[in-house]
Amino acid sequence: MKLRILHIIFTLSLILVTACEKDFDIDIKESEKQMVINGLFNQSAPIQMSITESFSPYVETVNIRDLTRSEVALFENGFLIENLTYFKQPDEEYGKYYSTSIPKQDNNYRIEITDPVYGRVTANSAVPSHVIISDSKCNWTSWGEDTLEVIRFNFEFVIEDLPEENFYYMSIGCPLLKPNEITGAYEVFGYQYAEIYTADIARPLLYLKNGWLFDDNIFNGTDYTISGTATMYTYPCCTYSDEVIVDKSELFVFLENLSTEAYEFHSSYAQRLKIQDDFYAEPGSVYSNINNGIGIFGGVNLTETQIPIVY
Amino acid sequence: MRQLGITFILYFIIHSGFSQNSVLDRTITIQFDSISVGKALQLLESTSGVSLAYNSNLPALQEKISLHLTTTSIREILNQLCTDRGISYKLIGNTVTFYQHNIKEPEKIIISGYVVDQNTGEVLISCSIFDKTTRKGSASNNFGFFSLTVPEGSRTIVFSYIGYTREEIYVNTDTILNIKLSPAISNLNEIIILEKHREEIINASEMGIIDISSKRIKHIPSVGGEVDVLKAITLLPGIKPGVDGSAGYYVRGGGADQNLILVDGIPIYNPYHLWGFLSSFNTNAINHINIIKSGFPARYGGRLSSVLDITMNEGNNQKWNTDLAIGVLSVNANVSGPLKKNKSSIMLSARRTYADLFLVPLMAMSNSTENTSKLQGYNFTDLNLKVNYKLSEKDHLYVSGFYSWDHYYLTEKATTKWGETDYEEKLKSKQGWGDIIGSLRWNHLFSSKLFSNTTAYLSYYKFTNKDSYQRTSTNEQNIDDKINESIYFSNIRDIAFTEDFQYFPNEKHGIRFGGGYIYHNFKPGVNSFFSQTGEDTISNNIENNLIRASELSAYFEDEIELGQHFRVNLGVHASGFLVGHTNYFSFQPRLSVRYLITNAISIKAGYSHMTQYLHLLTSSGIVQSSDLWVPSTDNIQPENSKQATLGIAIATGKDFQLEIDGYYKTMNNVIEYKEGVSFLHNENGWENMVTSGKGTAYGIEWFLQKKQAPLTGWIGYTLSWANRQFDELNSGDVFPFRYDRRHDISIVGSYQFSERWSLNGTWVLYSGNAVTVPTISYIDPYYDGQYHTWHSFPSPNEITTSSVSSSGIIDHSPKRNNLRLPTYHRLDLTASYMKKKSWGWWELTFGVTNLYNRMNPSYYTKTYDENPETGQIDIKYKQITLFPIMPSIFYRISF
Repeated sequence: MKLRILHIIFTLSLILVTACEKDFDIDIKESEKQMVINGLFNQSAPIQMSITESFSPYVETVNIRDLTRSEVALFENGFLIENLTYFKQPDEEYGKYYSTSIPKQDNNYRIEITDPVYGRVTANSAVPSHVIISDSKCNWTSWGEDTLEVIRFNFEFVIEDLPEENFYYMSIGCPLLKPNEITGAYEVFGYQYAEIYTADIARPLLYLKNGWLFDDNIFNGTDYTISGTATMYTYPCCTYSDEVIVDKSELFVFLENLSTEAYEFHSSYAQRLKIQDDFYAEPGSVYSNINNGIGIFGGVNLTETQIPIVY
Repeated sequence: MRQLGITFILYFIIHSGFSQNSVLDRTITIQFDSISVGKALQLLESTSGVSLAYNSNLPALQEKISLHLTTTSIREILNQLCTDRGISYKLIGNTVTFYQHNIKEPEKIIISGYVVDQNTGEVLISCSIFDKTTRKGSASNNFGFFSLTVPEGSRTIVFSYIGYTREEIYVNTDTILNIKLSPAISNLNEIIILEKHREEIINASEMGIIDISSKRIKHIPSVGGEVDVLKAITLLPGIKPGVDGSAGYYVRGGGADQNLILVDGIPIYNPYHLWGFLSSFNTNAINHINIIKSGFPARYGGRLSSVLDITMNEGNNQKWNTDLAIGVLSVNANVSGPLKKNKSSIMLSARRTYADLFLVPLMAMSNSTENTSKLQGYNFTDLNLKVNYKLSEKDHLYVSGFYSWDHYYLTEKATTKWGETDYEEKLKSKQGWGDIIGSLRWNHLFSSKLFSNTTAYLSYYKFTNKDSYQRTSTNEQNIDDKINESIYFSNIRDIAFTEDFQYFPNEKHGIRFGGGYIYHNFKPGVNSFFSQTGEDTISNNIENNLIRASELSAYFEDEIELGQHFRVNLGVHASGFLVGHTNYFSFQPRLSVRYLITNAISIKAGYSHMTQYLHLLTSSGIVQSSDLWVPSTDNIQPENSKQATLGIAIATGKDFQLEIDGYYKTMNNVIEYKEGVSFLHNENGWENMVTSGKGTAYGIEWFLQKKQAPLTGWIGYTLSWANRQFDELNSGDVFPFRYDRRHDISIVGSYQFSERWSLNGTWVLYSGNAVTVPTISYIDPYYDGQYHTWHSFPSPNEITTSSVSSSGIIDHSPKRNNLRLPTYHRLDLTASYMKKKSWGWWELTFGVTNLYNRMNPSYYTKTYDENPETGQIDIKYKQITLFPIMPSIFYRISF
């Protein structure tokens, strides 16, 4: 009797431990569609933005539709400066609304969009002040050549921080070169970004792909030295095609002074990337500053500096 | 010698009482409903046929009374009508003649002592003790002690307790009684006996307090056959469980951290095994459970929503006893016995999972191939130890220990070949959590009116998670060799001292006062990383600072009798929390009032102000063992609540008891994780991950109990609302709490077919949880219009070959908790067969969880399924059901 009971218990525990999970679909209804603005801009190029509409998270095929009938008015410091024009490049799937004006630092910008379906949609932002990088220098070491090549730059530079509160994004990288299809001369087509380690940036900070998001709380209004290491890992066999060269003789630091809107957007965006596969994470939304819509309209001021390499 | 004298007197009284045989010994059944004593005498005369002679103008005969007396002797009825009214009677011939005494303030006598189980010596907690004539009553405390003050004279003191034979003792002077109640003879009677004595429920001033014996808990069906206190209490109205497979319960709209769980008076931080599947309390070691949802007596503090006060067994001080049990999940043993008979006893209980002992090797074999191996397992252990020693008639010493530990482990190995190089990869993951508690308690009886309990304890809670990855190669340069290690842990260490007094100055007051001090050491989350690739090493230790805090508390409460109808429990709990550079203080008034309309109906009202200095950081998805306890700090304010309640209790005959309670509760400074954060990524410090807000909860609870065998049980229904508002969440708008369940029904039944067979069942139904899911999506702003090509960040004009986002789509939830999961309902049944033997007894319980296989949601997840025919990706949210229909079996033996 007792042996029989133990046998039953043994069998049931196997069932309990191994076969107690089933999954079922949840029926979720889509909310009303919204206008989506994608409009990050900086002081180095005219403002351009895409205007699309949202879609259901549960559709099998996403058909993104440009809203081409919108009227987009651009205001600078409260004054209308132009109406943006929709244009689709022949080789691109989607079009954008283009301005001809290059944003200027310390100016406020506002867009007012009138759309026959979504009505009036607005957003505000500004281009922050330019921040200077000075006294930059670095040296480097490398090891490994066959399967993995590691290059480590020991860098140092000074951020000449401004008196107001600033939000930054910083990345460091070497140019990627490939031959021009016509001339055959090597040209820069992108950058290989390095993993940055520095103890000079205070928490809270966020890592976003190639660099760090941080604020100036601990050095507000002062010249602040940031030093650390920037490490690049390359697998010579397979990271790039044979024609691509990583130009290790040049190292660039990219520092963006972000408007509040751009910072909120990027930090929430980075947070989303960070937790996207985390079962325990809280639901979170990417920041939006679009009134009666969704997306981002935010200005940044980009400082791009080449760091001299000391051999 | 004095005890011998008292025994002799009692013997004389009892026997002289029973030896009388006159017209007054005839028994009748009679009912007086709010009529004068004079009218009652008229009714008695007409009903019994006994001739009564009295002056109808006597003032004492004008008092209104309500009495329901079944099969009661005429003498007893007359005693109840006359006592305390200054009138006496005498039987002259066949006529009962009444006369009035000179009215004077009656003298008092004090009856005090302990109530214990006759067979085991275990104390009986909340045993109802009352004077049969005046109906004045008291209850034994957590140590079995009671004190009752009654008017002078011959008194019949009744001792009544669930599952035990009712005892009546005659006293006429100050008396110290050590009452030993006998368990009811049959198993059937265990169920017959009322959950709580009717008088106590109707008369008690506190609201929202429910006593449950461990015997009752054992009859409630449970998942896997494992009897579980923390799951069983969720069948009571106002107490909601979390999702299946998760830890935590939710009382009247409060969070899982707002429940104070005390084991022998000591708070437990993590009372769960198996990620919340089971509680860590071994039911075989539990003596008594008391749960409070509102009208909190002032002696309790530190949490907003409920108190679960669990008292463990002390150990059989009469004879050695062993209980062994095996279910589908665990085995447990409970051994207790006298170290010195009637003086000292010990109780040791232990429980462990056993599935890992055979499942792990089996699964390892099935998961292994020529190049890979996988070892994965889990186990939990808990131990309870309690030793007590009676130093003298007035002093009792208790030493106890509690240990609970869960351990999960995973080891994967693989060998691969890449080019000419062979690689060996090893992945290890370990997770563990648990509590260790040691305590020393000393009871001292200063007098029959003053009882004290002194407690000192150490408590340690720890959670740890360790992941490592190691890759070694045959490459001579070893530049591909890699080691990644990640360690996360948090712990809390408490040292505490508490002093509690219970004072009974007279029959109108029951006073409790005391205080305590807890020294907390919090280590709320440490992340340690180590990474080595070839010769390149990165080591990082991100650590939240150790937080030391002192928590002080003092309380005073008085249970006051105001006439025949009013009883009031009035008190105040004051506390302070000293942390960092901030000192928090709180003054918390408490009030409960009972108004007795008739002997069968009472109205109750209560008000409680509660403060909580500790917070539990829980993710909105699921509550589990990795949740982090954190203190209030300079930046995080203590939580506080105010709750008002109004209710009515109605007893209908012996069979049914109905309680209806309404409540309204507000909560301040409740905390939640901010949007998009995770406890796994706390490098910015936990204080930056949380935000404070407000909560409101209100509702009505119905609780109908049936107490008469063979069918016993209850029906509970709760209609409730619970909301939250945080400035930093949901755009500052109010949103429903995740366990805002509009309707919650539970039906619990037990049918006793015979002494051997019983059938037990529970059926629950409640509204689905509120969860947050995206309802619109939009294209990632970095999407540039070309599939799988993205603008790099930060340089908008540059192009890189890798993608910024994995999907290119951003999901957006316009509102928090914007979706209701489907309604939850489930039927569980168990059938038990018990057989007594000369050496003890054994019991076999068969059970089925989720009998009709309802697919209830446990949690939900987003999935991307590829349609094999079209190749299209199907994006869906899916609910995961953990408990489809599941059989279980549980075998228990006692000797």
